[in-house]
Amino acid sequence: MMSNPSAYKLLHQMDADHVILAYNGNISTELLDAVYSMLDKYLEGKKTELDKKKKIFQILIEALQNIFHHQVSLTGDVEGDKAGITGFIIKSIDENSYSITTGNYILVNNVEKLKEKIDHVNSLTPENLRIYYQQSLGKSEFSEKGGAGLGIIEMAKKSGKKLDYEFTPIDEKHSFFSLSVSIP
Amino acid sequence: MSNLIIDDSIKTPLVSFGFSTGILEIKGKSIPENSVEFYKPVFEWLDNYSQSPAPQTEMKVCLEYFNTSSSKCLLDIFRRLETINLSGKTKVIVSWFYETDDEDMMEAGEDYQALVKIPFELKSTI
Repeated sequence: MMSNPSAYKLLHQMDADHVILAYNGNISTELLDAVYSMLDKYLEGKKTELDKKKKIFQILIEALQNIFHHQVSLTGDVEGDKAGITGFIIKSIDENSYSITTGNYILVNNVEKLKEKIDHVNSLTPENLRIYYQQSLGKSEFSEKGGAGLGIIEMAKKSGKKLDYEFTPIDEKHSFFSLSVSIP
Repeated sequence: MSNLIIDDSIKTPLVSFGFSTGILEIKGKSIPENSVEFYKPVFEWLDNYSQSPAPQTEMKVCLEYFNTSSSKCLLDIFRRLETINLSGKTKVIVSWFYETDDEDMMEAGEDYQALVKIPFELKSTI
C-alpha cells in the first residue's frame, strides 16, 4: 500500500532500472502513435544513427502491435486488480542498446503453440531464421485479429538475440505472457 | 477507370497508381495496425486494373520500413501482379528500391524476389 505516493521514489526506481517508458493499460492505436512519436523525439535527442533508429522502431512496432492484436480483455473474468493488466516497458540498457518487454493475457489454449513457436525461433541460426521467415511469409494468412503470424520471427530476426519469455498461469482459462526483446 | 492516389501519413505510405501509365508506386513507411484495411482499396484497384492494364506495368516500391502485417499485404500485391502478368495483357516488372547500406530492406526485396515469379529488380538508391 502506498498511502503517500512518492514520484521521487518511483522515478528513482525507474531510473535505476533504466526505464524510459512504462505503460499499463489498454493498447489503442492512438496510444501507439503517441509512443512512436515520443520515442522518435527521444532518439533524435540522443542523436541515434538512422539505421539504428530504424531497427529500434521495427522491433518496437512488432512488439507493440503484437500486444495490440492479441490483448485479451479480462474484465469480469478475473478478480479485481488482475483485470486489465496489459503493458510494456522500454528500457535503455546502455548508451546504444535497448530492450522492450511486453505483457498481456492470453488464453491458456494458445500457450503451447506460442511457446513452441518461440522455442523454434530461438533454436534457429540467423540464416535459418531468414529462411523460416520467408517460408512463413509465403504461406501466411491473416488471423481474425489482423496479425500475419510473423511478428515473433521478425523480432528475433531483427534483434539477433534470443527472445526471452515467461508464461504465468492465472486461472484455468488465462495465462500471462511476458516477452522481452533486446535491441542491440 | 481512374488513378489511385492515397496520400502518405505517419504510418502509411504514399500510393500512386496510374491507370494509363501503368506506373504503380508505393513510397514511405508502412506500419499501420490494420494493414488489410489500408491496402483494401489497393487490392480492389489492381483487380479492376487487371481487366484492361497498360501495355507495360511497373511497380515501384520504395519503402523505408514496414511492419509484418504490411509485408503480407505486399506479398498479396505481388501475387496479383503475377496473375496479371500471366494473363499476357501487360508486361509487369517490379522495381524494389532500398537505400544503399540498408541490408534489411535489400533482404526483404530478395525474399519477395524468391516468392513471386515476376521480373523483380533490386535497385539501390543513394
